[in-house]
Amino acid sequence: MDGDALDVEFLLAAARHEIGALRDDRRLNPLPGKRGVALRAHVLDLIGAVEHRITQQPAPTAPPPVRRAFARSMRQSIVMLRGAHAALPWLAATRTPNVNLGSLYVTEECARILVGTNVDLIVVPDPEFMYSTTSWPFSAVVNTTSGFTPKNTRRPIVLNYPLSDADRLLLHPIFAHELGHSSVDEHHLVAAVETELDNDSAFTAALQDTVNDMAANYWTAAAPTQISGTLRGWIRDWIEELLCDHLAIEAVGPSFIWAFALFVLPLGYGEPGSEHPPNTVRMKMALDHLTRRGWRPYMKRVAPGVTAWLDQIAGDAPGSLERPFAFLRDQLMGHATVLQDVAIGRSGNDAFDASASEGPANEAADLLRRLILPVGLTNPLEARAILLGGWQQAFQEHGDSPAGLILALEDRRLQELVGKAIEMSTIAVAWEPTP
Amino acid sequence: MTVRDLQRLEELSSAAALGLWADDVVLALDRATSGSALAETDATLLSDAAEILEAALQRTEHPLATPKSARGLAATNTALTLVATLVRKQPGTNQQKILRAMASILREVGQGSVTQDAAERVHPVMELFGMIGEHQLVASNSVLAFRKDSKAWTATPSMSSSS
Repeated sequence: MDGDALDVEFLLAAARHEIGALRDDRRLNPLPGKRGVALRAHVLDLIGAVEHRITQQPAPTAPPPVRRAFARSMRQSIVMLRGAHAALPWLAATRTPNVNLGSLYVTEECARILVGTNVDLIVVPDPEFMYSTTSWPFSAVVNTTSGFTPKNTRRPIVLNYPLSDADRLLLHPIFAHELGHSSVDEHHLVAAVETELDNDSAFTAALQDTVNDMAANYWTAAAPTQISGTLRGWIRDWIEELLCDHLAIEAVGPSFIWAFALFVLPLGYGEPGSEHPPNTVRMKMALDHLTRRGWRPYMKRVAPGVTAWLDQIAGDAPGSLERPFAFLRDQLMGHATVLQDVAIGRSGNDAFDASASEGPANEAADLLRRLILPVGLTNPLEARAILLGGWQQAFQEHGDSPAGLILALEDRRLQELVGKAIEMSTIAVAWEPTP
Repeated sequence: MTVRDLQRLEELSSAAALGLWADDVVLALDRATSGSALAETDATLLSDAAEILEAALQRTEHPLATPKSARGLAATNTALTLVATLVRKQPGTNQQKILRAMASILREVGQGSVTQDAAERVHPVMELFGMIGEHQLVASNSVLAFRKDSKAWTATPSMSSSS
């Protein structure tokens, strides 16, 4: 019977077995160096939390609902421990990283700017063709364990990239968007935007109208509370995605919008989803943010054709949309400066500055044109400026057109030079000769 | 850029955490009403549980007032759904009445004011939190098995365009 003595005895043995299976796995052994150490500690905290739960077993005389609750908590813990096996390949990947080292250095710089210094960054390939991220994957369970104190305080961040993109550096500014998710979580940025929206009576009036309209005409079986909760969840997801785009622009400038166009436009155009705004809307809001941050003249100079194409796509943002997506789109486009302000506030003085970066990007592009490693003629160039110069040279070499973007992605030589230069420049900056 | 395996793990963790928390509330209610001194962690847990029910109650009164945290939104969504089930089983009552009464019991027990009939009064509260635990166990198993329950009412084909 659910929660009786035999059931609990069985579940305790099963939980201990799952703990043993994780602990005994060689991939959970201590790691050399720093990479992956926080993730490993986080997995051990999950195990510790479950071990703590095991000690909370109620007396055999406890009422049946209480014994069933404990049995359920053991089952829930076992489900979670099985899920935790997903982390083991990531730990193994830290021993043999295969993403381009230059790309890894830029990504670490973006993590420092957007999230903070106390992070453990793990970049792993995904057999499926998608970029994604997670950080603190087990924290919800660990933190909900009353009376248990986790040991790990450093944020583990796992970035997934398509296996085929390991050396496609021109796409790697997408990592900055992915790190945006960790930044949003760490610094409560969605709540910052939502508070501004809630303070605007026009927003709350529009939300009320939309809830009423959905209840009357579309989701007729649902209560207004349910509809409101769903719309809130969707708007938060859209805010997060848009914030991540803005944060990526703060971190790497126009390199992001070009990588974004290259990766997402072959997959979709103006279709909305509950978790993602349409690409047309994302494009419009990203371009407006780049313009505000002074990048527009540079973009029009190095890639006038591509910029005009992206503007054309952004021009479709206000087009017809299904209910309730039109509400989400209109409200967020109407509050574009709120999103921009939050991203600008997060990046602070570490934002990739248009006026200071154009010269170094020109230098990097010029060196690449002459097939010279673009580390810098007099001083090491900043990694982000080398990446931007790589894009600049890509337009020169492969054409300032949508098809030119694709050709640029196929240019392995250019991307190898960019990656190697970033690697050398990072080492040159960090190098401190022994006295 | 989009939802894949990595977010699935976060989803699993969130679903499991809500279930574990609900079952912890049941265990804490039992400890608090069985004569032993109320531990600080249990008092906090019961106060947190009362807050969630109060937030759910507030949502029934002001549908636009949704909790700021994802955890709060998920917890109140689940509580509202399950209390609606209880209402269907108990004609003559309503969501607000149940939520208010249960939050009040949780507050009392969490502050150590245990009356003689406490065990009897906490029984329906245990039942609700037990239902949340069950609901979340199904949810986390679904995430682990890659099966997501369809949200039929949000995917109605009757959606139409609006400019």
